[in-house]
This record gives sequence, structure tokens and C-alpha cells, in this order.
Amino acid sequence: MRAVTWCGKHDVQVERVPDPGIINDRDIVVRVTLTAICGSDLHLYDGYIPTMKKGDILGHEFMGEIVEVGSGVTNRAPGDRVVVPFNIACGRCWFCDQQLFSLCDNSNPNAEIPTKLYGHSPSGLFGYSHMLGGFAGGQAEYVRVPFGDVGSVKITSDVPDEKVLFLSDIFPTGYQAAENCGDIEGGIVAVWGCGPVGQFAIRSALLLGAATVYAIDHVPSRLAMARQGGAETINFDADDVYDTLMDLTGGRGPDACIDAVGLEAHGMSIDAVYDRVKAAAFMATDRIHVLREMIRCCRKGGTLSIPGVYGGYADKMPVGALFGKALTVRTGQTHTHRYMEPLLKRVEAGEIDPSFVITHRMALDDAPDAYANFAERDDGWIKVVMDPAQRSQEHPWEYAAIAENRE
Amino acid sequence: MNMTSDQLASRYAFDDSDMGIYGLEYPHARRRAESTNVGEVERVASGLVGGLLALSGVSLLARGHVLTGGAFSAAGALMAVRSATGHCPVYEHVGVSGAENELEISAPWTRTLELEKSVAIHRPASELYTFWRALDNLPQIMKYLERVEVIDDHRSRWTAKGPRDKPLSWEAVITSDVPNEHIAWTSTEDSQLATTGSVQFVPVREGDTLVRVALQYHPPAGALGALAANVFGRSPAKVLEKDLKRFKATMEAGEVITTEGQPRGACT
Repeated sequence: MRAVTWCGKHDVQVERVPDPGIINDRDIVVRVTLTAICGSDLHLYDGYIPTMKKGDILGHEFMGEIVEVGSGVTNRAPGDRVVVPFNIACGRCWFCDQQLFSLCDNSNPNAEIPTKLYGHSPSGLFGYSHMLGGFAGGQAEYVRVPFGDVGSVKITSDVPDEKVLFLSDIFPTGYQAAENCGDIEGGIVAVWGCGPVGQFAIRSALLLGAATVYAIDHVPSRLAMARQGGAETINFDADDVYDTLMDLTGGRGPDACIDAVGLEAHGMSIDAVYDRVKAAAFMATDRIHVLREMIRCCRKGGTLSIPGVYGGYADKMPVGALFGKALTVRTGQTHTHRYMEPLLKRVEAGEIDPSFVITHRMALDDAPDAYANFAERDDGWIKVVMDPAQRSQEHPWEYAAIAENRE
Repeated sequence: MNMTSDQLASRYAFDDSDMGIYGLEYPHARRRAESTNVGEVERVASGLVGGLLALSGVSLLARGHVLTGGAFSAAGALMAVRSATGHCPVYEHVGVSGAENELEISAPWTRTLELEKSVAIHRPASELYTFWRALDNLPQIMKYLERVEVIDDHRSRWTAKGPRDKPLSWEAVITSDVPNEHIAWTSTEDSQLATTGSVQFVPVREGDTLVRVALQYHPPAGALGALAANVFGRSPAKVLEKDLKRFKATMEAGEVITTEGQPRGACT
């Protein structure tokens, strides 16, 4: 089959690789009908995530048709149409039992690595470094899904792929981020980052009753999409975020703040430049410009909700402000399995059409170009979906020759 | 943490090469163990201080302060190197090690091996007890075991993995058996390998059990000692820890998932 592989910093390739099969009894194998590139894939592309190995297959947002089930799976069968959560969970450990699926005890074969770094290991993820399991991802024609009996949601209606693909990651992520704000009924929420997760966080916050959502970014197309979703926007290139938010809220600050940016925060303020220098010198790996700004802007006693993706260590963390303003922090990877059925119902009921976020529909073979453009955050590039069955206009299949030579 | 992703991976990766039967090649692990004399926390501190010193050193040099700038840069470099490699030439010269607690036993194996590990498992104690009490299940958990044959209510014969012509085998008897709570066993007097073991099942809360395993091995003499050292490897504590994680995954999830056999690319 063809698959998108990580080949180093700023280097992804499309290669011919063996088809996946059943390895463990609770596995299923899915033929991928639609897959996407995530903002967090860009952290891999930009070389921010350690323990990647050349040849790793990328991709954690995918859906398709089951072609094979392991002997331990009784609730799924070949032919079933499924969306698969980006994290892998056994469904039966204490954490899964508490609905904390992104903290599953049994889904990271390399748990020793995060245990050394963090104290304990989170769940395994598809296509997201060996530290998190080294699982082959779903930017490919086929993918093997461990614990497929709990790691899939069945789609029985004829709702198109584009409307349900994002149940795999970004819709539940934005929704959990909004839920983590606490009770925002009638309140004010500020969202930093208008990438796809930010877009879903905006809409989810409004679905959950927020009176106003302020969305902060500097890419015009992202700000426009945020406005279409009901947010009022702040362009941080044009205006100081703190001053603007204080002005809009009469000096109090928003009730809850969502960091939908994560460890690669951009920005040209002094602290952001400092972060970049330190990151380049490997002395601090995560850039927390957004986190610092949120801590400053949030109202006293408010909540910081951080879906963001952070990986390592950060410098100059304003713990004094965190303490002095009595802020609540809620963070972590999405407990995707918890949200898929409820959000599927909302989609099928017509409450929300997640396909709004798609800006580019490409072939799997276009992945190298897609990554390059998306990584630049070029205006207009917000979400790329790829169809493995589609032939590329730009890149008619050229890799067969290389594969034949290798064999 | 000033490390490339490869350094991070090799430092923290669970390197099976230092685990005896999983692969008998461990010169890499041995080299690391012998030269590491700086403790983990100190390594991180060294890296941070080293970085700051190096930065100040460079800035002093740039402003023409050659002596202080040079001294700071050199000190910074030394701190960074001892952080990255875990080896401090100064410590070595003075004969001190900050990493002693972290070294596992080194071959050849000369003293009694005592291991104790615990794991929290989200299953009732009765289920875990029942699985463990059927001693022929144990090779599913303890990967160094080839087979355990149950002879009768109390006696069993255990065989460790190893070369075909020289199996390491011993007979054990159950010395204590409290259903759903505690099992203990010991090897019989004429065994090749003297060993005792026990497992406790302590209910923690509804549906959660703390499993505590204690194992003791007394080194056999001569060639058997070397063989046994091979079987248990350089990190018997890590072996036991991994075995208990496997027990947990088996009892909770029904299987231990792996990525062995999955596809990957080769990159051009």
C-alpha cells in the first residue's frame, strides 16, 4: 500500500510499504477512505517531537471501512463504516473506566520513555512518535487499529465522510476544551489560535452557552472562519491582546481562556523571541508565549483550558500570576472515545456541520506539498483532507519504480 | 534538556539489549553503566547551569573579557558534557559517584538477588489470585520462564529459558496459600537454583488490587552462575517490572499490544 512517512525535519514522503494485518486479537484493519493532516502533525514536521524514526507512518485522523477483524472482536465486522479515535485505549483499565481514555494504562508499548520524562505514561497515539507507542498511522491506504472493539465508532447513516471524519480528533478536542472551561453559561470565553481546534472550540463554547467568544489569531482566513462561527476576532499583529481584552471586558478579563496553539507559539514580543532562542539552543523546548498571555489576560479566579499540545519543558512560567489570580488549569489530550457518539448525534441531527473547516481536498500523493504549505500557515490553508483513492494531478504515481528497485 | 531526539530516545528507551535472554548483546549497556557516575537529577541541573555559563562566557568573550569569558565558556562546556554523557571526569578523579543507586548488578552475579515490585491492577483480587495460583500460567507473565509444570497441589517444576543442552530447572513447593490474598513458594533443597517468591493481592478499592511480588534468587556456583546471570540479565528489577506490566495488561485488556510486524517506510 502507499503511506505517508516521516523522513526527517521538513521531509515527508509517500512510499510503498507492506499492508498492515491483524497482530493482536482485538485488532481491526481499516481501509482508509478519508484522512487529514493535523496541526500537531506539524510539530512532527518541524522537528519538535523527539523519538521519531525515519520511515514512521504518519496520521492520526482517519476513517474508513473495516476489512478484517481479530478473533477477539465481536461487535464489529468487515464492511462496517467506522471513524477511529486518534488515541488508543483498552477500555478496561482504571483510567478508561473513569472515561479518561487518553490516559489508558495499557496502550503504550514504550511506556518507559514517558514514565522517565513525566512520571507516568499517557495512552498510545497513532503516528505520533515512539515515545507514544510508535504505532503506524492512518495517512495511508490501510491501517491496523489496536483495541478496535472500543477504538471505533460505527456510522450507520449515509452522512458523508467529510462530516464525520473530524470526530477522530479535532471536534472532540475543541469540544473538550470548551467543556474544560467549566460553567460558561452566559460567560465570556477567549480562544487563542484559530486553527481547526480553535474553530471547533469556538463553536463548542457557543453550543455550551457562552455569551461571547473572542478569537485571537493573525492569519486573515482563520479570523474570517472564526467570525463565521460566531466569534469576535482580535488580530494580534494589529492590536495588543491584553489591552483589547481589558477594554472589551471593562478591565475584568474573560471568564475562561482556551490555548488552542500549543508548543510552537509564534509572536514577536520579547518573551516570544526569548522562547525561540532558547528552543533553538535546546535549552527550553516548548514556547509558551500564548500560555503567558492567557495567564495575564484571564480574569481572577478564571479557568485556563489547554488542549494545546505541549511536550517538554518551558522557561519563565508565570507561577506567581497563576497563584496570585487563583487560576484553574484544565489540560490534557482529548478523551476522544467519550465524545464520539454524543457528537455524532449532534452532526446527524444537523446541529453542526464539521466539514466547514476543510480548505483543501487533495490526494494522498500530494502529502509532501500539503505539509509544506500547511506548515507555513499560508493564508487559506486551514485543514487538508486526503483521499487515498484519489489520483494526484501534480504527482502522478512516481514511486512504483523506487519500490520495485528496493524489492 | 539539551538533547536531540536520538539522544533522548537512547537515554530513556527501554533498551532490551541489557536484559539477558532478550538479546545477549549488551556491550552498549555495560559501557553506559560503567562510566555513568552522575545522578539523573544532577545531570539535568548540570545541563541547565552549563548552558547559562556557556552563554555568559560567549557574551563576555564577545566584549573582550578573554580570561573570564574563556573560563566561563569552558566551565559551561564541561557542565554540558557531563550532563549529556552522565560521566564527570572530576568525579572519576576523586573517586565519587552520584549514580551508584542507579546501577543494576553487574555480571558475573555474585550475591543474592532480591527483588520487590508492585503493580496496581483494575481487577478483583480473586481473579488475579486464581490466575497466579495456576502456576503453569506464570510463563505468560515471567518471560524468562520456559515452562512451569504442576506436579501436584503443592509441587511444581520450573524451567527457565536458556540453551537447550543446559536447561536451568528447579522444583518448587508452595509454602503458603491464602486464597485471594497470598501465595508463597520456595525451591526444594536439591535445586539447581535456590529461589523463594511470594505474591500478595491487596484490595485497594472497588475493583482495584495492589499486587506485590517479592523474589529471591541465590546464585549457583560456577558455570550455572554465569548461565543464571544470562537468564536474568543485567537489570532483573526492570525485568520484573516489565513482567508485572504484562500481567496487568493481560488481566485488564486481555492482551499485551505490540507494534511488532506493523508496516513502516524506508525513506529515500
